[in-house]
Amino acid sequence: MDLPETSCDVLVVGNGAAGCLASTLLAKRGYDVCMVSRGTTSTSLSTSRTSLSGVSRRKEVTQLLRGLGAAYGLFGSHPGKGEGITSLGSVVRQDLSSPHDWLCTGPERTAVLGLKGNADLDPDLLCRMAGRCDSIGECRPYWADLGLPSSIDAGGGPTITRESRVAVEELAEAISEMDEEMVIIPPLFLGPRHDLALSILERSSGRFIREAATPLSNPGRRLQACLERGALDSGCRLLGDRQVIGSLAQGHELREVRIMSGLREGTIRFGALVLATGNIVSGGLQVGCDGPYDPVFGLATDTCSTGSLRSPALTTALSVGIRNREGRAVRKDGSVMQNVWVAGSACPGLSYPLGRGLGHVASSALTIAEMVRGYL
Amino acid sequence: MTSRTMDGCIKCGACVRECPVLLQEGQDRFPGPRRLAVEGPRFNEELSALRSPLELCTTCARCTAACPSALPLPEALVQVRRLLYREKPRPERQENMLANIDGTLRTVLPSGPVTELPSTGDVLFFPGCIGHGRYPEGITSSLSLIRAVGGRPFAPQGWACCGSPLEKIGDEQRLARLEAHNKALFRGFDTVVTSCPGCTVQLRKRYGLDPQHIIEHIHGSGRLRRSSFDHGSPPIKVALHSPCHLARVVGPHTLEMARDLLDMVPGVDVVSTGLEDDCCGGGGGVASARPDVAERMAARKVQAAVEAGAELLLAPCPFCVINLGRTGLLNVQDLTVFLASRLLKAEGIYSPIP
Repeated sequence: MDLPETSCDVLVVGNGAAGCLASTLLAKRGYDVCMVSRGTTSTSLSTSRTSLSGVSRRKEVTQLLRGLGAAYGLFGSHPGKGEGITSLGSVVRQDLSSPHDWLCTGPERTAVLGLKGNADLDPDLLCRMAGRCDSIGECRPYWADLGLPSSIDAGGGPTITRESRVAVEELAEAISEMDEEMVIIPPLFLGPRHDLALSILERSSGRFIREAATPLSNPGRRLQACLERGALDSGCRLLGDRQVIGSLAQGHELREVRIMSGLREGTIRFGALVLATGNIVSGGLQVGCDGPYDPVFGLATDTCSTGSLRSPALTTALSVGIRNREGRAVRKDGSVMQNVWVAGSACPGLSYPLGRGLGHVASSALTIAEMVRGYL
Repeated sequence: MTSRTMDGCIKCGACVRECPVLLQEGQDRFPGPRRLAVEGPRFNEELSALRSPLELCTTCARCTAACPSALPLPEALVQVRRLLYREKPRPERQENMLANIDGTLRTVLPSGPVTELPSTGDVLFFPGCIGHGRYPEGITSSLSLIRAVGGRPFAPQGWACCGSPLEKIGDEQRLARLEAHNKALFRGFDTVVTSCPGCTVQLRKRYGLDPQHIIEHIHGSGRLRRSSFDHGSPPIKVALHSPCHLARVVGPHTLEMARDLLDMVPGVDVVSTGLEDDCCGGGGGVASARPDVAERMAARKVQAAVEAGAELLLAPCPFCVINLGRTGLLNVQDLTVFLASRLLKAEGIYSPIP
């Protein structure tokens, strides 16, 4: 049994930051955009903190992200040069921040509250690391056993959900026993109103509440949900949990791909294709015995060394992306695919943690969306 | 498969965060897919110590969907189970199920009247043990829907269990016996329709058939439309459960088809519960091994549907219907039963809502 054939103007493969942003920009221009997603994106595993250092078209990127973040309580602070603090006590550059991000500002004395059973924030570790760093003030660790789940949906309505209200009350009670003016908590709340939940907690506890930057946790999921919502609201279709398994080329253009949905396969026809697949982290590239390769489209890869990690093997693997000439994908035989573009960390050198994160990915999505419009 | 899973794990913890059993039962009772499928085998842990948690995995595959490396964690966990049960007895209710198979070739003995199936026709309908023995109205409604889209459904006499429950609890010997029995009956038919997603997957993966779930069959026929349904029925608010083996194994398109079919029925308002994707708790042998856990998981879902204002909870899977229905908090129906009851000319619908 085959699935019914569908078609669209632009097919975007991947629903991480690059895929969602490119889809949003194109769908807003009136194109019929369809996004295929395989599952967990690297964006949803990220810290969601954004640096704009060295990003081209910085102003447009700022405007785009702040616009999409507004409805989701993200990027609401004044943009500007800032430094954020991670859950490991290290300092990261952060130009676009949300109101409750823990930045290198504010009062000197800080409480760090760990919640038993929540692995996102270890106050003892964080305080020990912060003690070695001059730019972070004095931190004191606290532990509380409140039996809270590691993520709580604050909802998207005018008020926060009942579940999150209960959590806020319990947290406020625990925090009221501390002396410090600022309290760092693990990121707990999800949904567009997560920011409101934190504001209520600030009001009821009388302290500044901040979150450290934690990867593999709720901040990345919030960002993912925010960008996905933006794409859907602008009219883009999302085919979730599906995988591209093959393609059909006509000369130097791709006309259709085969996608797999569980036990079934189907065909999607399109005018233009945007590969926002990420590299080896998200499965856009796979690692074979000769290094990373493109498993579906027969595209060439390039290596771009922008930094190095402790593991040389991982550094090599993450430096590899899909070869492209002015945004268009290049095949193994060197020919340029006329209607296939590469966006985000699928491009060599843009992959986090070697690349420089969301700012650069967003800038890439902006540029590619314009090129696609020019082609269509 | 286990070694691929062990090597592929990047320890990100996404599976631990998503696992609905862990969320419900807590880390002490169920340490989650990573511990059981990756770390347990990697460090050669004593299997008997993992016995109780191993029984709790519903094989819902939420972990695989969340895994950045898309590792087949449920399959790996089932392999660990297989090793565990090689020497040790199983939970009592699973032993009963095996006794049923040895006696009747089916996992359950009918608890009441069963729906008789025609023995000739042009669409082979595989009823499945749960539908046949516990949910006859689900069989009746599937037959009505197949007829409504122009088919003449029949079932081969003497069909046996597809083997899906045996696969989940790791009983290879009996599995091979059932497969040999069914394969002889299916010879000559390559299109089969099932109403239980577990059967759909099993018939595809182990029999080499191209089975269709009933939702795919009736939607794919293109013969149902708004005018096929009764416009005089009272409006109703329903919640739609997303069965794990349908949504994540047969494919996510099935749930889009289900929504599409519900949209055709006049007066239906589908409410969102926020927990649609969570497992009902009954799969993977949990309903038989640990009914208390299965019921707790079901109650959480049903409660969310009640709070969302649903008057009826629909699931396109008889197994989920039975497990969700155990809570008694809300009417639960197979989607096919609901659709058939709203057809303009429904044939053979005689059973009231359970």
